[in-house]
Amino acid sequence: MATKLSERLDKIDRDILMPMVKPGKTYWIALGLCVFFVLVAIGAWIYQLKTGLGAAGIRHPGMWGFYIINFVFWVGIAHSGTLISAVLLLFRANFRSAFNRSAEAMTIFAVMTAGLFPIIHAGRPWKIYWLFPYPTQREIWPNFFSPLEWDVFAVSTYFTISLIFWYLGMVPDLAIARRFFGGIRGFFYRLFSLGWTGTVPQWMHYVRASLFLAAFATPLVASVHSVVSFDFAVSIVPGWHATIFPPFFVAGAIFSGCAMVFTLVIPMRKIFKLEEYITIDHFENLAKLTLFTGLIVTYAYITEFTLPLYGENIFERDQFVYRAFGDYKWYSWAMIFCNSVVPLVLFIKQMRRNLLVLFIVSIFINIGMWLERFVIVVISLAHEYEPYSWGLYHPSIVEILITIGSFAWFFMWFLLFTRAIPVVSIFEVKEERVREEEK
Amino acid sequence: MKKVEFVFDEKEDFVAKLKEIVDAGISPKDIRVITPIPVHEVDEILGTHPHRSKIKYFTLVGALTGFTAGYALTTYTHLSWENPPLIVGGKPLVSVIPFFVIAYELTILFGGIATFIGLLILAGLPSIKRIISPEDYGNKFVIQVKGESVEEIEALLKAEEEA
Repeated sequence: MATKLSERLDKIDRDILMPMVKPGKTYWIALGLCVFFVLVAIGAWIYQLKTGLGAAGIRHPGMWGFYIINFVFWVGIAHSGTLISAVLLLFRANFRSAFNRSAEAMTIFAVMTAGLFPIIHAGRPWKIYWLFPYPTQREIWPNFFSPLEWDVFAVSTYFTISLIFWYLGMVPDLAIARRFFGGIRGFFYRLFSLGWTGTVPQWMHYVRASLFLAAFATPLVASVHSVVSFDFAVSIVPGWHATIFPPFFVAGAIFSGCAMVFTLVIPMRKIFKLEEYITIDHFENLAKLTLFTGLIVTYAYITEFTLPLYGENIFERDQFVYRAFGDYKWYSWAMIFCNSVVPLVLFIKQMRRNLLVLFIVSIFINIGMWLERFVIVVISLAHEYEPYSWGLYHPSIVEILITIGSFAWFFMWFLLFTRAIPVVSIFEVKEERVREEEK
Repeated sequence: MKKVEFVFDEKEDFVAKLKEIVDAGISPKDIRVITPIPVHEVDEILGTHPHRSKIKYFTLVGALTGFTAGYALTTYTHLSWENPPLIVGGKPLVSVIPFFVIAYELTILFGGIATFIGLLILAGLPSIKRIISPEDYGNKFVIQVKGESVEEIEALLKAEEEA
């Protein structure tokens, strides 16, 4: 290595910041499409506000439909971001530095998407502040026995902590970006890098603060989807009332989140030419994690089906027979195919190292995990205790447009992110590079 | 204020020089080090290991406050309807287990925010002076010596040149 260390590090800066300079035509087309679908969804929502919740397909007994499915789905997607950034930081897994920035961004945007759905579902968004405890002359407080209220605390804490963690990780990188950009953009980098210099006391406190935040984020990640699962498990609906729900939901969340990382990072790596920094080895490690959580999810399906069939509760048993052979049977089987069968190809090393395969598998998992929420939410409600209260749920066009819009909203934020913020954590990549060279 | 500055391209040279300066008896208080990445060797030489960061006190106080606040909020709000009591789901007015969820989340929320605030205070961020004119050495490793030690370091350099 003839060049000096500082020059080699300069190259890393340039390589990673390069994509932020000028976006290509594809970028604008993709962003335009996203904005278009977001606007369509906003239009659909306005229509729902004007006509009332009847515009959505939610009818008795299917009072939870696409909106709740999307809420659970997007909270789940959020999970792998924190997992990759926090848990892997605690375990000192080096492959995290390739993914952590984009995975954390994904977390923030997914929570932003998820948070919209309770608001849309509840029907009167202008009263949404009633969810939060605040003193009023009416002396009305939220009911802290309700899992829906726990959700408010869990999800808002999750958003806040993820945002802090993400921003904290970004500060030294923004200090690098401020060297490359002038004008208004440079001003914002200077402002948000808070005057970071990189002195020893700054690094000392910084490293410690990151560790503590990681230590907070790890139990937080386990708690958030557990609390979301309580929305179901604390009720007495057959198919929901199960003790396995919290670990099942957390594993499912990480599984779907890892899949979404593949879906986003594989194209991003190619477009931004980040092959040197996000390597095949990194992908292989993440694929192993995906396979592992996928197997946990499969195990949970087996448990979920066998326990009621073995047990004495006829309502539970009937619910699961209905799931497999009832009106919605194709959703259940498609879910099992996508989440339990397709990821098995990741057992083969060549498949784990093939990005096309990983990308296709990740799409299957995304679909499968969305279907899983459909199966849990819709099928359980459609087939409760009394036959006279059985009924089917059909989404309305409003719900479908808002669902498509939520994906567009998520991708829109991600596209904006790739231009505004270094997509890979630069100082961590440098740290890893220096460590490797010393070996 | 007078200061002497050393700028390095290589980490090894920088660490060696820093060690030399500290070994020569220059007080670590007068040494200011700027690096593009955290360097563990520096922690050993200057005794600035992250273990010694005071940030842990912020985290602890924040977390305890959050935990207390979680139980206080839930208990207070449920007791504020005590006469007549508003029974929900046949459960006691003050139920430890469901309230724990709120306390748990607020522990993390307050603890995390306190850690962030602690970092800002301890690391001297945001620094308006540095936002206006950043002190930026790119990817170079920098040692600055200032204050009373400047004369000592100049003498040291002179001795080196002569040798």
